[in-house]
Amino acid sequence: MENHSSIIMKSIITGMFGAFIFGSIFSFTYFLTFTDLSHASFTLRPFIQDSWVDQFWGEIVSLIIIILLGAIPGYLYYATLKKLTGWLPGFVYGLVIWGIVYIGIGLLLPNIPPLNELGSDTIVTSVCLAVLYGVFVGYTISYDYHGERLDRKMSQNNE
Amino acid sequence: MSSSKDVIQSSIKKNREYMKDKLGIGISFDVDYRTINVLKKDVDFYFVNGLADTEFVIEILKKVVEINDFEQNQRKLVEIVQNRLVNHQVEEKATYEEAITQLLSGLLVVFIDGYDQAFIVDVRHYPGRGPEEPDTERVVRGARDGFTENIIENTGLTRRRVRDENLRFELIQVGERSKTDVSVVYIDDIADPSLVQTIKDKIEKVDIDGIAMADKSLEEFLVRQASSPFPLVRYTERPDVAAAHLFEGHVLIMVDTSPSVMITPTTFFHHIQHAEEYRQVPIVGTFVRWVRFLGILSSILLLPLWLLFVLQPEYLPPELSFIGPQEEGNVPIAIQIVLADLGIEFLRIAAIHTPTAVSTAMGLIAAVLIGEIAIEVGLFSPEIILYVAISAIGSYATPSYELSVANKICRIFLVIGTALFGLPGLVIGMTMYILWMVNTVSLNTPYFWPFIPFNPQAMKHILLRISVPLQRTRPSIVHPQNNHRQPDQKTKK
Repeated sequence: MENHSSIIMKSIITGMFGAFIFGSIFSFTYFLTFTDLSHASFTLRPFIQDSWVDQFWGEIVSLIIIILLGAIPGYLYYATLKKLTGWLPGFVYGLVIWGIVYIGIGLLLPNIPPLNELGSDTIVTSVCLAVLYGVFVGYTISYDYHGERLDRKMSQNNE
Repeated sequence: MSSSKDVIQSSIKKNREYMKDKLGIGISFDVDYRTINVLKKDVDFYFVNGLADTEFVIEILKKVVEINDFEQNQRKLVEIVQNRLVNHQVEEKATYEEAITQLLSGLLVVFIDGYDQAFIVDVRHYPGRGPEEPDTERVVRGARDGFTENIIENTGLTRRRVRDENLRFELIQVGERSKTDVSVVYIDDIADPSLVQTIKDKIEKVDIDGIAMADKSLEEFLVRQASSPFPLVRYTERPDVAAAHLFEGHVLIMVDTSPSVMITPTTFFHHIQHAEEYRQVPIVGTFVRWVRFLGILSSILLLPLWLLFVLQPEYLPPELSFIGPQEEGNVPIAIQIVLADLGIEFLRIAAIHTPTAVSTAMGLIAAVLIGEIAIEVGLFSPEIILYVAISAIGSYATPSYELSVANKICRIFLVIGTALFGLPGLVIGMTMYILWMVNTVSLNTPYFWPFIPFNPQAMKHILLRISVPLQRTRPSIVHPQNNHRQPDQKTKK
């Protein structure tokens, strides 16, 4: 079994990669107006009002910011939930992250409408992406922690 | 009644009775025996007409007949006859059941009067074709041989590419009545021993009359599919692909009478790569790979996404506003899509059942007439046909046929979900697609590796076609014992 410091590094890198992948997809869905908010709405728009923030470059800068921030969920999952197996803990973790960001932080920021005013499209898209991010991070970390093997219960499912 | 442990008798008359009773000698025309009198004792040679090579049998009979000219020691008859069975593969068996099994596999069974064992001589010649390039795995440049239905030839084709002394072919017979030869193939110091043992245990537990569909039937015993359409093993008919997977540390399963070899374990991403990318320069290979990814993605997502834009044009950014049929069709768009998809499925099924001569004409009819006339009649609008065709081409670009069918099923569900629920249907549908694959496990391997669970090294190898000198290590998903592909890397580290 690998030593803990390398798994911690892997968890952080996983969190950052996940933020990159799902942040990019989120920007893409913003471009297609599947969602009214994008991650830039949380990172840049409350603070800077220039016009570039609403367009392409705003998304890029914000993407870099959340890649860096992505280390935090990676590390947190490792610190708390790594012993659980399967993808379900990651699923719940993603929901929790969504809750914290959209409800917790959202209430603090002036430009985010409250929950009942966000359209169903925005909620569905952002929840799904957050859930996938959670599964991405959680399953990877628990898989790495268990020595890159699935436990017996998981592997009996399809046999 | 006889039990399966019946031991061969010394008396050749009793042997003849037993064999006649069991095998129907005199009833089946192709199972028979020849008696040769050697030094005043009878020697019976049992054979199956279609499976034994006549020339080899004649050669052996010649040598045995010559005993009468050269030898005289009657007491050493057994040793003398055994010495004269001119073949490199000769065994002795003590029970009737083993002898009969070998006889029915095509080997020559020799009974000597006064000896209670039978000699088995391998004179098999199975009817079959030579190695030809498989239909579904063509490459533009490269080897054009493929596996055949004969497991012995397949082992030869593989050993030619892997001349390692650690390559193992373990033989197991499956099926009460079919007794099909199944071979588990792996490289001893690379493959994960627990995986090899798991596979062998599962194969030995198979309890069935016969596996007529050879590899496919066996697959259903090894990996219980439940209700998942996704393929849990990868098939190949190319020896070079099989050898490449052996070097990576996979375990292969070869089944006699089938040219398809099973590769385990496998992930989703194994099904979207093809040997062709390794036949070109790395950059070209990466380009081809990316085009293929685009094709596969469009085979799943293009139609539902387009349907969403048509039903709810407000999602379209202004740059793409040309998308969407200009006029109202007579049939709702979602139903048009499903009909067109089903239509392509009909065409595919019809093309398989049609003999080649007719299928060219049929292709013309399908493409020109049905498309044109359907539009003129008002059943379809032209844009539907365009997008369904692109989707279908994308699905044929999938290297693994089984995966393309699984993706097609998911696409139909996504289309229905989008038609009923709009955007939430599409997004939730895609999420469920990914989560389903994350949940799938193939023989202790997570199916969506290396994306979820994430492995940056392996992901890089999938996104880019890495040149062979730079491929230093084996993919970790197969848990190889020996991680370094190039031996001198070990000392350099």
